[in-house]
Amino acid sequence: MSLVLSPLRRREMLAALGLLGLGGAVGPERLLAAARGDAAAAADVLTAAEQAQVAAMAEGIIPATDTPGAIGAGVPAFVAMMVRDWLLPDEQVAFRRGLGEWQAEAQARYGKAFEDCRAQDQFALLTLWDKAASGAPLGGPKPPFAMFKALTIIGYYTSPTGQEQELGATMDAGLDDPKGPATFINLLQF
Amino acid sequence: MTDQIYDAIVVGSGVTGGLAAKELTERGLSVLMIERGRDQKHGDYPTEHMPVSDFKFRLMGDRRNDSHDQAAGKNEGSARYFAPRSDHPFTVAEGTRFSWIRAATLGGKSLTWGRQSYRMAPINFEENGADGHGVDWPLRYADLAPWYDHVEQIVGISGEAERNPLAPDGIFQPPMPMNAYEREFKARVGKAFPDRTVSMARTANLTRELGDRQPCHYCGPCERGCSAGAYFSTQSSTLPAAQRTGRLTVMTDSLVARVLTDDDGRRATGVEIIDTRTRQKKVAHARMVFLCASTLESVRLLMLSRNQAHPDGLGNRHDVLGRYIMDHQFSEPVMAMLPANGIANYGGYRPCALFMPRYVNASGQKEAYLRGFQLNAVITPTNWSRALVMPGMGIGADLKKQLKATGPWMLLLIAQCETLPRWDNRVTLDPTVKDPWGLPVLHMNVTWGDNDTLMREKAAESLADMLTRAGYQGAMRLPMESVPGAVIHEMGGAVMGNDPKTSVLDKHNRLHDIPNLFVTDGASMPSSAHVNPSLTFMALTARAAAFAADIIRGGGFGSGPFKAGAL
Repeated sequence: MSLVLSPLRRREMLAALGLLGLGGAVGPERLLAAARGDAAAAADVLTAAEQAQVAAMAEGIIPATDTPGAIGAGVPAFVAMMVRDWLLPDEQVAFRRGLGEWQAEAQARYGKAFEDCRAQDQFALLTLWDKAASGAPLGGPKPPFAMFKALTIIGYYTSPTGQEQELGATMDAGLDDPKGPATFINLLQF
Repeated sequence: MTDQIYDAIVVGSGVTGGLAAKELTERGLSVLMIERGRDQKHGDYPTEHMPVSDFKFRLMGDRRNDSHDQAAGKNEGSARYFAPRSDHPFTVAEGTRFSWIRAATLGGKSLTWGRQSYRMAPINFEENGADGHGVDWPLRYADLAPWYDHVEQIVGISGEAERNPLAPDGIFQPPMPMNAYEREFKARVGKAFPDRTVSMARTANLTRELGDRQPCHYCGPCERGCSAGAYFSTQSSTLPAAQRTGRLTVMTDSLVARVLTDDDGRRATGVEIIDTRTRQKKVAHARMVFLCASTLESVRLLMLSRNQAHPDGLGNRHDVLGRYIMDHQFSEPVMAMLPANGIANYGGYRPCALFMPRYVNASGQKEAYLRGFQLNAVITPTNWSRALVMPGMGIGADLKKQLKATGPWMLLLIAQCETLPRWDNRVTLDPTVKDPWGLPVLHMNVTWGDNDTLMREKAAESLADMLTRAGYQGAMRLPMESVPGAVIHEMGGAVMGNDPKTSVLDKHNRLHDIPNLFVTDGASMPSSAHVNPSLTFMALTARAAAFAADIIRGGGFGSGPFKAGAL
């Protein structure tokens, strides 16, 4: 589990180095085309119940506002795909253990599955887990919630909805053309 | 094809191979350019403007199925241009590490290079001779200056003239503009350190049209290829120029296994080629051969070409081949965060950072280490991904609101340190391990020396001190390891020099022993200097090509017995 936040921190720094045209080792990667559509087949790792829980948790982290939230941006399918194809086997185990523990906590506190809890109860749970996760010591193993949150945020802000509707990002921005933070997207190579 | 005798064979098609082909064909010579990788057409860059959402792993890469080493410029959008590690195995001496990054296609690493382009300073040509490390350069700045002029006009370099003796000015297109925080950084550093220059990076990205190449449109990820030709690559520049002459033959998927010589080993006659698809061997002949295969592959090729006349490898009568291997070192980066307050956002993605010429040991030896470093500065706004690294941003609508707003900026400095040429830093052929084509692989025995390690440490200290004295709070050093080869500025191994006993190449980049065999890539560098080296490789290539073409046109390097008088 420690793999998520530390590479991401490293990536942010190294992506900046990439700007220099010098550093930029970002991690093991290989081009795979035909990316769209894969997520639909991801049900083989997460169960239907787990996916419902993932969707509710992701939407709680990035809710619909004047723009769509995580569900509207397809984040649940993205998270399921990443669990299947990107996490290492021991990380998959830890991720699913996390899902089980959160579900148990929702049951204990509210007598319901997380996805069936009221919005304010979901928010309370997510806030609790977020604080616990962000309070974890630097450099040590990251709790599963840190990975969950990271996958949700990445999935949202790199989705067509996140890029185009939320951030207004374009690939053809010109210099000295203030468009707001959306156009930063490419700066860090996301 | 075995019947034809080309005027020249060029092995490799990267920045030097492509340029050699251009220079030689434009001087009337017939050239066969041989590339180990597959064909790659200009404009056929399928990921070029792909939005992040179209990448399966959103540019984080397929970490479970990766077949590449980590490398600068390599990501989910550009991995197709990098050779998988299984294509070029190598071994390392016990207790050492090495990173060897190779390209997968025609154009070599010119498709994915960092593009920063600087002239070496006069002092860089003199320090080997002055402090006794390595072999004295057989050239001085004045010898190469006209060739820098020549190459800069082909490459197309945007940048700013600074009249700094440690960063000689060249022929530049207008520099790319600085953002507001960069202008402030320049002003603050200028005030605190009158002897330090902050300038826009000199980069092989156009700000004006050049031939049919378009100026940069600031889309961002150059390493995916640029169909506008806004940065210099073989495909955008030298290859079409060479093809226009009608005298260039390109052979891809073809690995040169050895350079052939005549029986007494005094003249190169051609090369032996393995077709990487069929594994069939063939031979091509030429009046001369240019090795532009990348530093370590050119060195390896000289070793693989050992024969009765040269039992230890071509050009290795005095055990110099494979020695003085160098790379640059990056210092640990030093970072400060800047508030977003009052700084306007900007659009676009400039493909370069700022640079600062070397300021240490600039006029006489003052530091505890020899030589010096130049540095880059990145000053850029953070984006939404700061949520992954900055604690306390919470969840829900409030998190979303924060991430839509302008975030803090990041200021990051990193030094590029010269490393000394050392006799013991060497590569050899591994006695047992073979590559997929049955050829012995390289065995790397490359480490950082005391001077290298000391400079790297002192450089990071100097950067942190500079930020503090320029009034930036909270400068942090970011831990980063330094593995030889990782900067992908590998140099040396077949160094130039005046003395055949202590160097492999003469001042025209040809083997002392075999005057029609040239090595014009990074292998020829007697020292690493403090600047990004590709422009110098190209200047050396252009200079050697002009020299060689004159010989061919004068009737030299004939197919009969070699006559020294013909030179």
